[in-house]
Amino acid sequence: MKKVVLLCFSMLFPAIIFAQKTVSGTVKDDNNEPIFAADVFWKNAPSKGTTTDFDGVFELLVLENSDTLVVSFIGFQSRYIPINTDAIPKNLSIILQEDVETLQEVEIKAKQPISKKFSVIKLQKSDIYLSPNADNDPLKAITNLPYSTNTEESANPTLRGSDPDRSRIVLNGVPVYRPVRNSQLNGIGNFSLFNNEIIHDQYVYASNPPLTFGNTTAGLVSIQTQDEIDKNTIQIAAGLASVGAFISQKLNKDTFFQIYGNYQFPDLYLDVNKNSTEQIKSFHTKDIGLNFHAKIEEDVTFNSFTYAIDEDFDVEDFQYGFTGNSIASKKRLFTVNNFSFFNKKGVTSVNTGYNTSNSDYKFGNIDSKLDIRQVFFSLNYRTIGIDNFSLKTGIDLDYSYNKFYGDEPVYFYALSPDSPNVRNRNKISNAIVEPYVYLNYDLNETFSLGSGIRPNIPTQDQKSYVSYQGSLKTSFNTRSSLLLSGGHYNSYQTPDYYNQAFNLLKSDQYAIDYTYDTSKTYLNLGLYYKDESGDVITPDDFLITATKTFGVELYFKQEIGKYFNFSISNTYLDQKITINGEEFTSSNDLNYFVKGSVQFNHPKVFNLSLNYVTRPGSFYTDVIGAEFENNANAFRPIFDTNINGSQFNNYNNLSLNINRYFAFKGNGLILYGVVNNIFDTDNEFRAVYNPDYSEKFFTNYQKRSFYFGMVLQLNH
Amino acid sequence: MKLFLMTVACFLHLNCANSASTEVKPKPEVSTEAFSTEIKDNLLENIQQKVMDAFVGSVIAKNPNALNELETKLKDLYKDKKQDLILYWIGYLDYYKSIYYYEVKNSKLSEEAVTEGIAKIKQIKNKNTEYYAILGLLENFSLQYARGINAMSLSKSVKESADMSIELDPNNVRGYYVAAVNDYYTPVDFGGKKKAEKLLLKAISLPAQKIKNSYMPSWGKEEAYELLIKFYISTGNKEKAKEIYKKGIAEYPDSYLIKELASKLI
Repeated sequence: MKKVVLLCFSMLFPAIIFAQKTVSGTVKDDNNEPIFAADVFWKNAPSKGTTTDFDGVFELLVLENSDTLVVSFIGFQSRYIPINTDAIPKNLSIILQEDVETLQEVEIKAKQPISKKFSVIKLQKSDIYLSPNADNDPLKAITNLPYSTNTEESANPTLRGSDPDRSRIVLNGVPVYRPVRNSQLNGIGNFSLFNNEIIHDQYVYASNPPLTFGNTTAGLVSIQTQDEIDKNTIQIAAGLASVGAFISQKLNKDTFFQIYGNYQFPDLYLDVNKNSTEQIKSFHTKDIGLNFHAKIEEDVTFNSFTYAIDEDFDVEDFQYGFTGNSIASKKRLFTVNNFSFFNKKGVTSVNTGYNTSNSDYKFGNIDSKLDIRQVFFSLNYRTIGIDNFSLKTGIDLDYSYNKFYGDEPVYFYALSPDSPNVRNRNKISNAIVEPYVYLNYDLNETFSLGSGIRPNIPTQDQKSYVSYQGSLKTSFNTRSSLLLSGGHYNSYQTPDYYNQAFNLLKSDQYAIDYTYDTSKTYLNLGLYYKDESGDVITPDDFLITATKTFGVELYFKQEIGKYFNFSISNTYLDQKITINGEEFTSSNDLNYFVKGSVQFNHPKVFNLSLNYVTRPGSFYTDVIGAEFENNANAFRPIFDTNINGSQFNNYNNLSLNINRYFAFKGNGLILYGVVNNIFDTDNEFRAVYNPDYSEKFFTNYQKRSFYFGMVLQLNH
Repeated sequence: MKLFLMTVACFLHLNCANSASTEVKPKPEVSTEAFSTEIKDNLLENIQQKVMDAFVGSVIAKNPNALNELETKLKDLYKDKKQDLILYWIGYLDYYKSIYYYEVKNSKLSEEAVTEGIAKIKQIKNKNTEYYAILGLLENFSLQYARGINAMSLSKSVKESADMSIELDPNNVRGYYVAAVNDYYTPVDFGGKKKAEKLLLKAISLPAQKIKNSYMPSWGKEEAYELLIKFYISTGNKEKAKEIYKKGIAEYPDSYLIKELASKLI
């Protein structure tokens, strides 16, 4: 019996001794940070493993026949470590490399701008679609926000009181100048060039534009196109004044194209709205856009957006005592192409743009033609760190060539065909070369810092300058945050008929934005001060050399129940301009600018929004007399010395948008209708005069107008 | 008693509209074999089950104290350790907190909880497959609070999270489950219910955990069985429903989620 016991004991003994052996060590990532909860097990016994603790430490019993230790954790490459169980090492130090598949994560992060925390708002495609009065136009959607102080009923963003030309619209990192259709001499246009269907999101920087982009002294709208599509779609749209088609098609998992075209025509629209469109004689627009996205390699993506437009319009217009037809036409093509190269640490991007346009404008003795060629190139590198620090750096080349030619009046106020004109030929060009560095540092969960610097490398006769900025964002919790921003900025004026030069513009800006955001309540309070300088000639031939702006804006939006929401905003804008060293009230000085909307969105009933905008009328400089000038063969207006001393009547506009979405078998049909200026209010837009300036009358903003249409969406 | 509590929890959850199935199952198997070293006693040990226990405790007590207490502990631990995995479990707990408030008909707090959970997960800088899966699960639950076009946008976000989870690990059951839930609850008129079957079949072919790990999630597979059976029942395919039921019961013999579908298969 004893022998049996001894035999059993002797058989078990080695196993007991063996079982007491352990292997221990520490698992860390390649930043030397311990990895918590990593799996550690023997290759031949995966179910008998252990996990690392908070310090990355593990201890594992050595099993019989075990010779390979496996260490693995999600997101990291597994390590297979041969172990000699006869001489087990103590305190193994094991480094796990991040899995190459996290490139996907890098790509996702790279989609969001490094400065995203410092934008005041991000609009997604659905926000634009639901935005009241926006007509599904990405830039018009901004005009509903309190940051927009646009008094022109145009799509060109006027951010926090600054001239639209001081702000920039950037598409996939490339500036798109004059981003509106049907633009007039001063750049006013009713719709933007962008189709919401190709847009993924847009970030709005109402002031203090991030210096990852140049050539802006006011604000910035950064638009990103779609980089993936859910399904193949064909859309057919028909409205009172346009027909269009849109096709979105996947070619493979990561490659797709979107192509669209529209034709705008006047007949039906003018017929339905004949009482409110007496000045419009005709308008036509043909446009086509193509967005193509491809993943060329696992770590290389390519996107190309190309757009062409051919437009013309004919409207009755009034300028300096002369009444005639404004006839304008424009052909334009631009293309924006982007390559992005990803690695685990960051992304290198090359953004290129080319723009060409030819336009012609006729009015009285004006026959002004403008040919534009622009080339943009930028090379950028951005780190996508796992830590709290990220950096973006790069260099831009932004070249513009403008050729003004045709006939221009000799005297700015003498526009009749009987008054003298002069042949104009003015070729100007500007090459902006600017390197930049932008840093984002998250101090902790509460504080984030952003800072950028952007000097120029002077070309031609340019002066040297440096733009710089700093931003601090404090997130008190997931709902409320405070953003402090300040900086000094430089940009060049986009030349136009009145300003045929690339004047250097500057601004100093300081802004505070408080935001409270829950899924039902949104509150934003903004305060800002801007000191802008640079020569700008107004259509009235005044030279503005400086503008000082102080603004306060308040925005409140509330969801009520499942289907209702309302929003109200108010902006106070105290703006002074300097002309000939003297300070005057700006035309857009606003004691209040109230925008209110009530929305009912029920997918099974309809979506309806009622929108109201009211503000004091803009200021203008009255003509107090006139003298006939023989040389000009016209009366020369004598302006009131009190510049902007007169004011138009108060502006009031109530509008209604309604649409209904019908879903059927994965397809959709949208019917929509819009009534603008329901009460047919006379909102004074401009003061015009008879030829000898003895009589004054006013043109109005758009009177009551109707628009309706449908969009059929077929998915396959 | 425990079975009773779980039954109550299951019953409550199954009444949640447009939600993913909750994790209700016996304590998951963990690496407690004789040969493994002693695992340090810490809060994250079997945390998935601890969340479930707190949820059931809150439901029985009709107050959220148990969930809140556990959340406080997790938040304290996060302050100390700053590990993303702790945020994961706070997010997971918020998901159950949201379900709890939904059941006590406090939609405001329910929405707040799920929103808080989403924020916690979004806070994680380097998301792996599991973070995307839980993000998708939370976003999917929050869909019931979104309206109109925002719901469409959020639904897209659920799909993106699920796709990302699958992209990062094609063998993660939870990624497929979340993708399936999103498709299953999308109305046919809006292009839904086309991929759910395929995704769920894939989900049930995968292990709940590749390597057993008591700190890591193991939800998703049992729920995938449940949803697949429901899918076949709703499409009138009872034979297939029975087949999946048998497989599910074989793997999860104590599953209330699966067992309660038995009566619909007769």
